[in-house]
Amino acid sequence: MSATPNSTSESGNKTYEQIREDLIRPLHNNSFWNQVWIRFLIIVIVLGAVAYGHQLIKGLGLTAMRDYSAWGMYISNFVFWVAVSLIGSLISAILKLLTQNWANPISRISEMIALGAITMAGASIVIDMGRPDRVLNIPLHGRIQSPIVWDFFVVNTYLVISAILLYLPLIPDIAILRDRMTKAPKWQRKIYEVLSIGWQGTQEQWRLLKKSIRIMIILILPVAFSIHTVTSWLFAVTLRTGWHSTIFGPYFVAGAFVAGSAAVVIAMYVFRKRLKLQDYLTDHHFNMMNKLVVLTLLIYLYFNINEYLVPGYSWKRLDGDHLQELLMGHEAPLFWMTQILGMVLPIILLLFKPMRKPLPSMVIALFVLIGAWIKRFLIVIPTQFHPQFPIQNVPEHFTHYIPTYTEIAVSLATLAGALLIITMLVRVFPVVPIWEEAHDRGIHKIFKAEK
Amino acid sequence: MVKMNHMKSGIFKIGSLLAAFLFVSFFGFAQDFAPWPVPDEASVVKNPVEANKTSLEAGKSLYTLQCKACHGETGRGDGLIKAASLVSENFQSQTDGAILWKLHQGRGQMPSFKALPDDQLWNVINYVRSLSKKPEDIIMKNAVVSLFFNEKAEQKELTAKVEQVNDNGEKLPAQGIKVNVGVQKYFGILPISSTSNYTSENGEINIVFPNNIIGDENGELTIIASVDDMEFNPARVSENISWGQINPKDYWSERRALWKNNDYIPLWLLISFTVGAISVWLVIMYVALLVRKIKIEGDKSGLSD
Ligand code: HEC
Repeated sequence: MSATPNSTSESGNKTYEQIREDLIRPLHNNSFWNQVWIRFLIIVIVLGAVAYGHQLIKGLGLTAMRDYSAWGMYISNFVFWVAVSLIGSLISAILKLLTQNWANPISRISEMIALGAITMAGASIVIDMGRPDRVLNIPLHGRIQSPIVWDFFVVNTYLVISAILLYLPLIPDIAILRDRMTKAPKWQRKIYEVLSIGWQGTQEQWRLLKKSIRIMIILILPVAFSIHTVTSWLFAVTLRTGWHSTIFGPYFVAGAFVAGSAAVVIAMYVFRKRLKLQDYLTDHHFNMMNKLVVLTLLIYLYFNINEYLVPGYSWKRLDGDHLQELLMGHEAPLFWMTQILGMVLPIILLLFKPMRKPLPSMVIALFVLIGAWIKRFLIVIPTQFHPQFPIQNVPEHFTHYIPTYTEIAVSLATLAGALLIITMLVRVFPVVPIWEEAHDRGIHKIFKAEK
Repeated sequence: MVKMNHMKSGIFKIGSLLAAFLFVSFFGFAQDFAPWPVPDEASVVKNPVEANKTSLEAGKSLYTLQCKACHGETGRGDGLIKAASLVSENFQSQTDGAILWKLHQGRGQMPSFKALPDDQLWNVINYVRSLSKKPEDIIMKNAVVSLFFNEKAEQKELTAKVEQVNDNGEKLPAQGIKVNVGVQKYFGILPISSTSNYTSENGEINIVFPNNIIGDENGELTIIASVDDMEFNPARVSENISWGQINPKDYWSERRALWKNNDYIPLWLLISFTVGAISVWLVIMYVALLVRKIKIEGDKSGLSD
């Protein structure tokens, strides 16, 4: 790792002690609004849990899923969460391997987002099951040829890897917290005590830690690509128009990086403001991060053109029906709104430097993220209304899909769940890696944990 | 600490609320259907149709068509949805007139059958009654059924013969017995007899066998004939014969293909999936080992400090 002090120390040189205290300070802050926020999230989760309990008892009839649309909002959420979770691998692995050191201060944010998102991805799948008690039938009796079995394996593996990748770089920081946060509540001190695994910062420990991190950031790449590629195959291996596409894997992966990058920009903005990290999440970081957003958006735009232009050119019968609906028919307003507000316009705006400042870029990122969710919805649902075989003798309301209150409540609860995971992580751990920050600012003393 | 306790009790409250909710809705669901009061003038209506064989058979076929899906084969209310039991004592204690009134009315998921003529409904009521109580004058008899195949130049003919077996082992042709004949397929029996196939005076039914039924790779089919009569214990026979169309061995259905079951899993896939999965987890375990080493290292230097 070559340190690039100029790029990160915009606000003058800080001593190690200053950096440490700056980054620890937010952990002491248990402000009123923080409490309100956490309670709000818990209420949303409880409401969702009640709705889910209801669904568990009454069955999936409470959702709007019927003969045509057998996959609904829950599956779109699943795809969305998997997509967002991929950001952990992009920032912590890809950028690190490319020695893009400007991204070091945001690597932990991305890992926290990844962990929250992948947890909710797993939850979304179970939520979509009418009989969640049968989830173990997938590994026990599944066909190994089935992408669903691969998905089960890869989602769980990615969950574990994300947790490890969040944890490893945290160890030295946790040791600092163990020694500094002596006034924290007992449970919190206990967490630090256990998780710091006796970190002393010896040379051997640093060697082992750096080796572990290096292995994990390489291992996460194939798994991250698999998870979203396999998720896309759940769709692509069927014969449905709009799903049966050979570029679905890379199309999904590209879209995932868009969604995740946008989520990171929003999180950066919130943490910078709420945790007063202006000196650590600087305009420079926003500038660079938003350039990354543009890059991912451009790649995604490229895949979008491929995905719609090629079938649009040949206009095979069912493809035609599907595209007609999407581009000019019933779904067109939503479709063009996401394509323009969530992709084209952000690309154009973010080309201008003032737009890459924290506030404007956060607003743009919100559009991109919401667009990313709607996009998943548009990928999953409309095509189901153009099946290869006609479905007969169904009531009129089977022929369109509008999520029910149950689905909306449960979906909002998964959103709140992801936010709660991130919030709790931020309550207990510093969002910007302390040791890496010091290292990148050219402070090269190896920190032996102070007593 | 105070805050923590506060939070704990909050979580506890929410948890117990949730538990109460689940409890109530679960038992609310498991409860039986509410009583269904019938006006007196409907209860006193008499059933004009005698529960004889004709009525019971007609009632059975209507039941199979219209009621079985919900009320189940045996009327216990265990069909595709939870429906009322038609064999409980409680149910049996009401008059035929009351049941007819309920069939006319319908309630909740139970549809109204007003559209059907009353004599058909009386038949089905007779049949429903017989589900819990066989009419006493019916003594169950035994029969055997056998199949004969007759291949003529142009046409294949099949004969099913039903013989009643008396207590002394004597066999006599049984007339007027309904026989179902079909071909065994993957998911059930494909009927080839019409639904009203009653044996003639020599105990036989004749069926012209259709030419277009697909058999296995030798054209072999399994033909099944069964006695379907209220007075007879079930009897059934199955025979194989090469009367079907030859189903050529399909290269793809024999091959290890991606869309087949686990017995046909392509080896390359089995190997790459297993090797991939195991190696990822081996690496994870290796990293866990490194983390353990970090801990051991820390303990060591912590001691020497
Ligand atoms: C769609 C499902 C369904 C079908 C089809 C159906 N039932 Fe029902 N049936 C029910 C349900 C559910 C109830 C309980 C209704 C209630 O009490 O609210 C019920 C109740 C009844 C009752 C009243 C039970 C009692 O305790 O008094 C009778 C009698 C009955 N069904 C007979 C029939 C007959 C005969 C048929 C066919 C002609 C039939 N049902 C078809 C669902 C069905």
